[in-house]
Amino acid sequence: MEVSERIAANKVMQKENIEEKQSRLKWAVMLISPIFLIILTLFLGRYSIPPSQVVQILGNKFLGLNFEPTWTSSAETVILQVRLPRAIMAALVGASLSMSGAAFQGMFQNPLVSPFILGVSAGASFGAAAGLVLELPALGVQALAFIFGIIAVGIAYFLARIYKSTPILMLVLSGMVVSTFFQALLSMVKFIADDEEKLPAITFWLMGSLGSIEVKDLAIAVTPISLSMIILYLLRWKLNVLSMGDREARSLGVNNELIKTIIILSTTLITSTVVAFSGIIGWVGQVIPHFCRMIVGPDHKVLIPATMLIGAAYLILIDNFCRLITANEIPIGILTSIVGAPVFAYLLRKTKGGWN
Amino acid sequence: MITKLKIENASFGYNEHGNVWENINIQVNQGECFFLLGPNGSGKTTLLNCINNSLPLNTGSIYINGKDVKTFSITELARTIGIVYQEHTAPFPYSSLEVVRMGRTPYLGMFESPSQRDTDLAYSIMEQLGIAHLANKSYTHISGGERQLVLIARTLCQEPEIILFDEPTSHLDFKNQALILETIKKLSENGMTIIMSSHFPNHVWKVGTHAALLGFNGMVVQGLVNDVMTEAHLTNTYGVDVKIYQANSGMNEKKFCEPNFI
Amino acid sequence: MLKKLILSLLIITLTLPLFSCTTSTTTPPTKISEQSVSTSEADQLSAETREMTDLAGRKVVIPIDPQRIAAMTGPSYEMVFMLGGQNRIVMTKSGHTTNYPVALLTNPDLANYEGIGANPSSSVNIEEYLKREIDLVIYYLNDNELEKFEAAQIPAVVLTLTTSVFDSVEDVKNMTLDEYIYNSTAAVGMLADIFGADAIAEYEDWKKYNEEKIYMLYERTQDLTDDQLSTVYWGNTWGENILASYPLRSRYYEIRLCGGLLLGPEAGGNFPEITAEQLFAWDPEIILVDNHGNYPELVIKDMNKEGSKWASLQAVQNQQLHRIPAGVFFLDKGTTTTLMLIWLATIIQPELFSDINIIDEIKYYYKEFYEFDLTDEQAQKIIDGWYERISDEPDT
Repeated sequence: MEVSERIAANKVMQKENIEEKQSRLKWAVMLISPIFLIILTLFLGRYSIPPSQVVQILGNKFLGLNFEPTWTSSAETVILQVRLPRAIMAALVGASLSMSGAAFQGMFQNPLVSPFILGVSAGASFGAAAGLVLELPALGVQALAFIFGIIAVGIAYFLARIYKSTPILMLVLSGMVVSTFFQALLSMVKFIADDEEKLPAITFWLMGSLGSIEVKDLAIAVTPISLSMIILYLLRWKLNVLSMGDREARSLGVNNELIKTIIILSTTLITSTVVAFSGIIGWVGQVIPHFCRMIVGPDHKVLIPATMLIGAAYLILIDNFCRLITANEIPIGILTSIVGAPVFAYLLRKTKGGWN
Repeated sequence: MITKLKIENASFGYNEHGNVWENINIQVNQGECFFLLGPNGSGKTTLLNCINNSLPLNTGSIYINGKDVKTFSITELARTIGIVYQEHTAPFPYSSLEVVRMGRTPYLGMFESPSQRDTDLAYSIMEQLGIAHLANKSYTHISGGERQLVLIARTLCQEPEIILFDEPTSHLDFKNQALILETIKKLSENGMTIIMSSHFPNHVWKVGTHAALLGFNGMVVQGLVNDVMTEAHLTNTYGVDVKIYQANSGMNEKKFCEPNFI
Repeated sequence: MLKKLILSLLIITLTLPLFSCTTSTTTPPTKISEQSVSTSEADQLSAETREMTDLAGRKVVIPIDPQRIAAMTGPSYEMVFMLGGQNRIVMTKSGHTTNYPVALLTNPDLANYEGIGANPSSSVNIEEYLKREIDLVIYYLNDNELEKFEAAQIPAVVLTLTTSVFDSVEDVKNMTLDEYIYNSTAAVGMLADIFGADAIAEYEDWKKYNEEKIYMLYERTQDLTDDQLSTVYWGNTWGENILASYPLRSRYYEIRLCGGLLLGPEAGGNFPEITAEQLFAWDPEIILVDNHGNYPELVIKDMNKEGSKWASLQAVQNQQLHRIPAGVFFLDKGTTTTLMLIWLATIIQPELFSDINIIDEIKYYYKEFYEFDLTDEQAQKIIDGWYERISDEPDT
């Protein structure tokens, strides 16, 4: 090889090494962030607990250590029953919503799509409002939200079915129809919510909040969410093929109708559960995948894991804002919109509308 | 002579308003490069889509290697037939290598992703087609002709026995047209069975071994290229007066046809 | 040319409603007598009217002796009832006719009143009012809906403000006792004024009672230092927790009168939510559970349960979870606020008010102002919150 060629080759190898190192660093940061933030959350809060006590409480609970309790039982409650379940739920919600968003964006071949596009949030909102007006206990409200989220998507799915297939355009249109329908029903419920008491409850519920998450909520929610996340994770490479279009995917041997149905089922399970427990948290499923594409590229094989990690970290961060800034519980749906929409606008401008 | 593809008494229509075509009988043998010609709306693309079972026939059957196409599973079919659609852009800026690698899907399970072996295979196919330098370039940033070659490479990764081409040169410039046609010719010479729909009758003489003309009233004629490509047949098919010319340019002698304008 | 014509026609038809709106608001209410109306209305309207200013500063022309009242705000039925005006009521907020057993006890006729739903943001169906020939509406401060009454020429007065009188907690802290007494009695006073002589006499008695009791509270608590005050949190119940609170405003003063310090977010809104952690951080000595929301008694039960996450709160451990009492109406609104403060005082500063027998106080109030003899058991039930939410009949 000529000297100049050798130098050029060396330069390429060096560049590749640097890129690899950068990539490994990126992934290290992404992996650590959610874990770090969960731990940080345990130390922060309006109820002040000295860090050493936090460590001791955790040690006693999880490592079976035997520190002398120098703290109040309220402190223990705050750490183990208020902060911890809330942080874990924030991570779960952030990760699963982002994954769902990425999966839908791949499936619908459109990076602007949100996981709520098939009507799940409209249906769940209606279900929750109905539950609140019917004065059901919290579990009842959650169950109704969950059920109607699924019903809404079910209707959209079957509306979109033509000759045993569900074309993407039909799905989008059906989703719009179903969303509008359930939003109208929601308005009707709000109208019936005659008393002074129910309307504020409905409004607050709809704005989204992780403030009421207890250990028992986490225990129920973790199964459907994790299950669906695993399925979406396993399907991540297939999303690449699916994103090339129904016709092409099929010609490449992908049973696209089956995969689409599985994806819709999984994301709906996630979104219904999330909305049932924490209300409407928007702008996460759209923005995070878009943002991750800028960091790791469009290959879903790496995109999906990235959205999980960054989505989790993002939501833990936002939720901390919600609970730390004032004595009030700031509804998380408001913050994600306030942050998400401008960020999305910025991404839109930066990529100039195209995503290439 | 192995019959790779047989279409018997096929008809297709989108709705009750009549068939797009009917009474289609076609046989394609191994190694043939079979051209499908016809005017816009004659249903060439539809026929291709029926061959790979994307669309259902109204009547008749299609047999691949003697087996009814409807009885193939999706994966089986993808390992036997590949279809190269007209190049297009993707919604996401995948690398060209990634796009080519998608051709390995028929050999992967539902939850599997490609292995290193799959990646190497994809890369070597790109080398064979002379597009290895595009591997890390974004699929959406390369030229139309390069994209078409990437799609061909992808189809080759499926290791098919038959390749369908849907108007692969339609919106390419001269150079790229030539590139694609050369590639197809090489594939044909290496024994691949090819069925190609095209808007360019002139390409038939360059690359094809057999052809079929599909007019508005169904199939006009099929057979060896020279039997099919006559002025009478072409005029009948395209509904316009077509003349065939012979020309010399130095050592090159070519046949070509043209609608007869005054 | 045709397109332009159609477009202009469209624009004109779309802007027509604007014109009709403006014309109706400029029609002065005094023109009522000049309208051609049915004979019964004509009789009514030829009676005298007078102009007054309601608590929202609105100038309204009302009939001198209203006989067909729609009492649509939460506390309004109870206020009219206390002043002896229940026979004037034709229509009231639907919940009143079914959900308050004591209201039905003290006025069995209440079950026959027309009940229509109403809340600060609901939409008024003006025909319901017109068809019943309402001559006075007691309504919420909602400009859009009040306009409807004006357009239909039905006098509407605002006696309770949905927004707080005070802009900030500082203003509340700087209020004087006399200002408080005025603020807390003004609504009843205005209502008495609308009804006339008998009601005014009743109001004077009632006001004297209030002054007496409030002075009593004030004298005993005004010198308490900050650490002698008991911390109080006042919550509502959406779902299974009491994290919906009130913003600190006028309640702050009332709790201070009882010797307590009201905890709450300074932020606005009607029912701002606080975080669970904040509640733990405050750890109030006393938690009051309001009647808004779902099943306060169930929430209290849930909080007191074995192993509940709230178990470490001192209010839970000391059994200081109290539901706001409910009688003819919830005790915290209407005419009974002072009665509620007396009850609160016995809870917030039990030693200071150990001489007070709350059962006797309630029985006295009911006898004196509702002319009803309560038994001891009934009085206790009121303290425990005697309220049964029966589903409302749909309005026909």
